Amino acid sequence: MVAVFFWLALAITLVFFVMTLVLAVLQWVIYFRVEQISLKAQKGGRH
Amino acid sequence: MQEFLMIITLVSIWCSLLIATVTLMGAVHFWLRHSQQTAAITPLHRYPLISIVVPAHNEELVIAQTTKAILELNYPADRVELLIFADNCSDQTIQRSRAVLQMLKYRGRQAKVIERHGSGGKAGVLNDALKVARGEYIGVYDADVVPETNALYFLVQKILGDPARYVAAYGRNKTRNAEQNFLTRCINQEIVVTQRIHYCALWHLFKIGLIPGTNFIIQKEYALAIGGWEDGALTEDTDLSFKVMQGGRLIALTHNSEAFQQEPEKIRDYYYQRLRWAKENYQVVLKKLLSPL
Repeated sequence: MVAVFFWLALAITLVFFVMTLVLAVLQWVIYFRVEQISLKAQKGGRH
Repeated sequence: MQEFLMIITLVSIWCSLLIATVTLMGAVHFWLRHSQQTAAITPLHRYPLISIVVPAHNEELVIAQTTKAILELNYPADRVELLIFADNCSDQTIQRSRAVLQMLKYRGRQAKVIERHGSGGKAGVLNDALKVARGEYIGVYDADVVPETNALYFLVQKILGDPARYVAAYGRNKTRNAEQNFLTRCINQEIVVTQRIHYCALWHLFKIGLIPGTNFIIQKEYALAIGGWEDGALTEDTDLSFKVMQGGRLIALTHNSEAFQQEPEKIRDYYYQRLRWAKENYQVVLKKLLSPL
């Protein structure tokens, strides 16, 4: 019972780990896009 | 028994992690779709009359700034009616708000200060406002909230996108005094997480909207039809949100409508504010669960 549960727990932990990595990448993309828009807006304001 | 308890513990941890991950995924998907769009201020096909209600109870320190911010909103001046309810005030709230309304640049605006001595708190004020407001929509801004110039424009724009489904629209609140001390910086973080992640995910994934108490508009006829706000309820907005969703209509999130609100600066005020919210929110949830459908 404990052995089966150990492998189940390990699999779920790995799934969460992969999800964390995916979320981190996607959040970096959002941050990059927002920064790009802010920079464009700042440049537009100066001219 | 020990093994069984361990399994229950682990499963409960996984469930909470799953809820958090789903919420975060929803928010990330929402912001991925919106992160390349800049908000455009284009003329609306119509400008409904909005009655903005400001419930004020002894707010002499902040009322003038709030009144000015509302009168300066980017929305046609003849389509905004401002109703400041001085609710059982014993300070200079009435005089200070009247002084702003008498300023030369605001003369001729549809704005008045109404002295109120009734009971019911904020919910009572909003119910009184329903009786006297002429607008198609009622907008609510607390006395310590300063809306950003386009806040109302974005709310109206959102509702006009699908007026049959959206009976209310609500914006985001930011912390006005975030730099005051460590507590207000923490509250600012909390509000950013709640509003930019939690609210966006709930709306994006499940079309669930929660009226936040300020910076929102609601169709007046609909508010009247569902019986308005529950008198005396401290978290009157939770109650109203339930009523709207039970009626099968939607409260639309307008992520680009922003207002700046004052947050507690002392730990004691913060504790009692959250205690009150928690108590009243549980009260509303229990009432809805126990009441027959």
